Amino acid sequence: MTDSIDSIDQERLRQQDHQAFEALVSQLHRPMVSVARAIVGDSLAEEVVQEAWVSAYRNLPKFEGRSSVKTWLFTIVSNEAKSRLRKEKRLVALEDFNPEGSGDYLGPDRFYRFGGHWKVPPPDWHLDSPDQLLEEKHLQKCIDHTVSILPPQQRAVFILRDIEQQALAEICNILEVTESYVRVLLHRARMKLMQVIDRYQETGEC
Amino acid sequence: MLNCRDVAHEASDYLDQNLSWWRRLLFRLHLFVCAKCRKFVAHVHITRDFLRRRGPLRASDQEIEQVMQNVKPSAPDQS
Ligand SMILES: [Zn+2]
Repeated sequence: MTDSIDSIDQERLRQQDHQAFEALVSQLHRPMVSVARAIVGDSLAEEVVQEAWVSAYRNLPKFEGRSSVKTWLFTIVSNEAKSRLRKEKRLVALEDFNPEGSGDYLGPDRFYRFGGHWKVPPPDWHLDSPDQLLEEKHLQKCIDHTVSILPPQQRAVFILRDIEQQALAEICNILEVTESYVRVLLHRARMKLMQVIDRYQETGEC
Repeated sequence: MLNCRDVAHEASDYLDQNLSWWRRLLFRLHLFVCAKCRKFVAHVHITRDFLRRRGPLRASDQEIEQVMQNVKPSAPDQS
């Protein structure tokens, strides 16, 4: 991509250049909202992210580039969300931890109880490369919709890891969860999206 | 030995290189003998790479505008 985060001039950011800052907002606003939602829930997320942007803007001159801009911003929104959570003394319902759980897609009906072999094996795919899938416009819409309705922590982990390519250790810090839990959530999210692709391959719908 | 259920649940860890060397070996042994799991892991692989290559969702103009309005009071003049 030509206008990725890396192409935004860090010196211009440090000088609080509006154009450079807008480019940053354009690329990271939605991921930041996902992070906030995973920590404080839907109702406070938007407000927390706005505060995070203001605080990021103010602190830009002090940004030293020890971490990437992305990681720096995700940390700011995460801290903002955590302190908000403490103030509100509110508990956000976390997903049930189900060690077996990749959701229904790999649920008990999928395998024989004894022996663990496939009862419903993976279907054939006629679109069997990322390139072919990328050309399907309708599938893209189905995927966007499914990402938008993932449980908040799953969505945040999926976006941070698979889209924003943050390291597992960073994601643990940002969301305050363990690495094994991050991996479980990531797999669950991928399974939900793979289920969409399965259905699309079979029916052309989602 | 791993069974198909184990393989299905650990497929992301396998593809992301998060399994221990021993678990990875067991995983590969299973793939060697099981065509269904080979197909499943291939699908997870395609799914992961497809999703990664789609790239991020950009903020809308309104969303950008709203952030900029909040930020401006603390901004130096840029005329
Ligand atoms: Zn198998």
